[in-house]
Amino acid sequence: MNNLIEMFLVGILITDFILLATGRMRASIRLVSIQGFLLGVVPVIIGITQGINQEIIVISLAGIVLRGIVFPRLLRRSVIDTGVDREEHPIVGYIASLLIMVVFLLTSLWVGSKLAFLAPKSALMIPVALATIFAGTFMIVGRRIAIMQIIGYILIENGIYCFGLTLVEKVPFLVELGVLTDAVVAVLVMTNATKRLHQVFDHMDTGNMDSLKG
Amino acid sequence: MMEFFGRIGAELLWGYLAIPVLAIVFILLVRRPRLVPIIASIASFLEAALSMIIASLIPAVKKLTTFGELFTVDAFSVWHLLVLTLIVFLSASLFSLSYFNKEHILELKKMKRFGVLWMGALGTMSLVLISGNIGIMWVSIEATTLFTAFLIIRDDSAASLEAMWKYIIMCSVGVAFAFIGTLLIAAAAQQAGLVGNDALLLSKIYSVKEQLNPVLVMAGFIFLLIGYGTKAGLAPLHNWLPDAHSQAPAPVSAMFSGFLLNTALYSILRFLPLADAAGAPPGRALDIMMFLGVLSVLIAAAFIVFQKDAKRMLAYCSVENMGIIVLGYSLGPIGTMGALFHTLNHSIAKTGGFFTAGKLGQLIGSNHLTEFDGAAKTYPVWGIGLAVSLLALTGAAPFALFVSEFQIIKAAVDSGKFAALILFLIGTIIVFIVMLRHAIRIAWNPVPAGHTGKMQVSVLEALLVFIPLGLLLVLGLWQPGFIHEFIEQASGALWGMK
Repeated sequence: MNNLIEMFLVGILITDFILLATGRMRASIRLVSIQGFLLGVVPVIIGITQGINQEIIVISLAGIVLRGIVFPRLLRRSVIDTGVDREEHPIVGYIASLLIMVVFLLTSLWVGSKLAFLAPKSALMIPVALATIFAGTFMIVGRRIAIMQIIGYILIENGIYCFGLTLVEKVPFLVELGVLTDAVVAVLVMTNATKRLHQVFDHMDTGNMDSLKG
Repeated sequence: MMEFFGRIGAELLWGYLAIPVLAIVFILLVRRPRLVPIIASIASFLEAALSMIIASLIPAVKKLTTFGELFTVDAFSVWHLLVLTLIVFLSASLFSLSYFNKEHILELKKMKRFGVLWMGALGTMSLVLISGNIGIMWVSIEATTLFTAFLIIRDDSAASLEAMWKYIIMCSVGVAFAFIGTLLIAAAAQQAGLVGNDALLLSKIYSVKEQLNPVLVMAGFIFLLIGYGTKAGLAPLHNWLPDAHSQAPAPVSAMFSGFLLNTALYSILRFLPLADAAGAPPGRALDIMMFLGVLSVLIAAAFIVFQKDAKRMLAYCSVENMGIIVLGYSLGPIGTMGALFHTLNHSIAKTGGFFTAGKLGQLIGSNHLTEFDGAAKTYPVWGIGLAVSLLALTGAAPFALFVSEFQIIKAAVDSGKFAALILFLIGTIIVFIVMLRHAIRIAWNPVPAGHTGKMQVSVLEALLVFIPLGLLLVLGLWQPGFIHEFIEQASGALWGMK
């Protein structure tokens, strides 16, 4: 079973890498959707080995539907509304981004080895969670287009979810549900905001937003 | 008998959720935009009354809990609940009655959006303060970001959208990091033997604080400090703050500055005694807090010197005051009483500051400080109000902020933290000089040509400006015994949490 979990985790890691290497929105959205599916299945696999119950199934299903279907749909609508489909001039270039991601991965593996006592289920869990969080933060800082920054936010959420799976034996149902709801509303608010940004600025290049200083 | 009151009181905590939810339902039903701020004011009044009732029960029962400790209130939370509901939301809601007056009333749809988000902000901020579960606390803080983001934009202007985007992104990411901190603390609690829900209940975590893994607690605290600190506006994570505060409509700026920042700070503080006792090495958590507090004061002072925009200046002043409050708490129990008093004083003064600056900006048509020359002559209520608010905010002598800052300084001397004290004094003295200059400019400079005053001021508006200032004056000269006792209890509740 552990091999199966690790396969999924490696899958998540691969999506992180490709996401940092592309500026095409539609491809990025598809990758986020794939990552959402992969992540949604992990608790079920853990559940199968350690005893499954209704809560795990509900949370897992809700996760898959939201991360795999709802978020990508909201993002796609945003892309259609704004008509921007490609990030031409990211703040950090794609090759450089990949190299930085390699550094993130090495750091995550190192921190993960220090924290290994926390993750009895799989040695890869903490490194993948951290690498995904780093990748998300980096996308927010290193990309100008608002939609790419939202994808960065979703990556951070995904990474934290993965982290939570390792750290805490059983996050109470109510809290888990609250966290998911917050993520949904956050993405809704952000996509709505990009639409307004586009209407007013006629672009979604947050790098050009510099009227407020000092 | 007391037990009976305790049980009733605990059930009353549901009111903090029920009142905003009911208000939202009413707001969605009304057909006239004028009614929205009226409903918001009534709901805020009810929440303030609820806080007074709870506050009157707390000295006897110490702690109210309901719903399996998911909701827990002690003297420390009640102090913040009173500031939130009685000082900030009640006055800001009443002020919105006049801010959205005949000329500035928005169309029904926008007014309803304002009302729903406004009440949502009140509900989620109260939820942070009454949650005894650190997971629910996190969820509520994240929810406050989502409810308040769209309050910043009133007129889809480019600058307000830019401010909103910065706010959403910075605070969502920051708060996401706070979730890692929450999980690390929960993991430590589980290692110490707590299972399921108990690992997230603050009181349960405190009860096993001797057995917690120090490294996990310290790592968790640092994540919490960075995460919630972003939202509390602690430098160097404050970048979103001046933009959001200066772009939002005045009642919203007052709410942001008067309490939204304190909500996030409250969440950090709930973990502070834990990290202080269980962290590695003990006391390190306080040092980190002290560093951030002093840094916030200094960075804010540097930006205030060159500030041209009245609302941005007030925003940096919030960064400074958050720094002062953090410095107070970082001195441990002896600084806490000063910090708690300063929290109250800052919220009173800052709501008044944003009301007057906002109204002047609305009347003059610009927030540029040079345009405010002689405003006290053209618009007496607002001009004098702003000049006096600025004086009060800098900690000028007879006002209450002077007393609370003095308490913090005394605590710093008593605990021998002289380096921090000197840096703190440098920062506050710079702010004092700069803001004094602006207060003088507003009061005595010649009025620029073309500024004609003569503008009706309602009794309510004048009261909203001068009652807070009067209150600060009274509290500065004489602190009633019951306030002193309540602060003492709040400090005890925080540091002696069981």
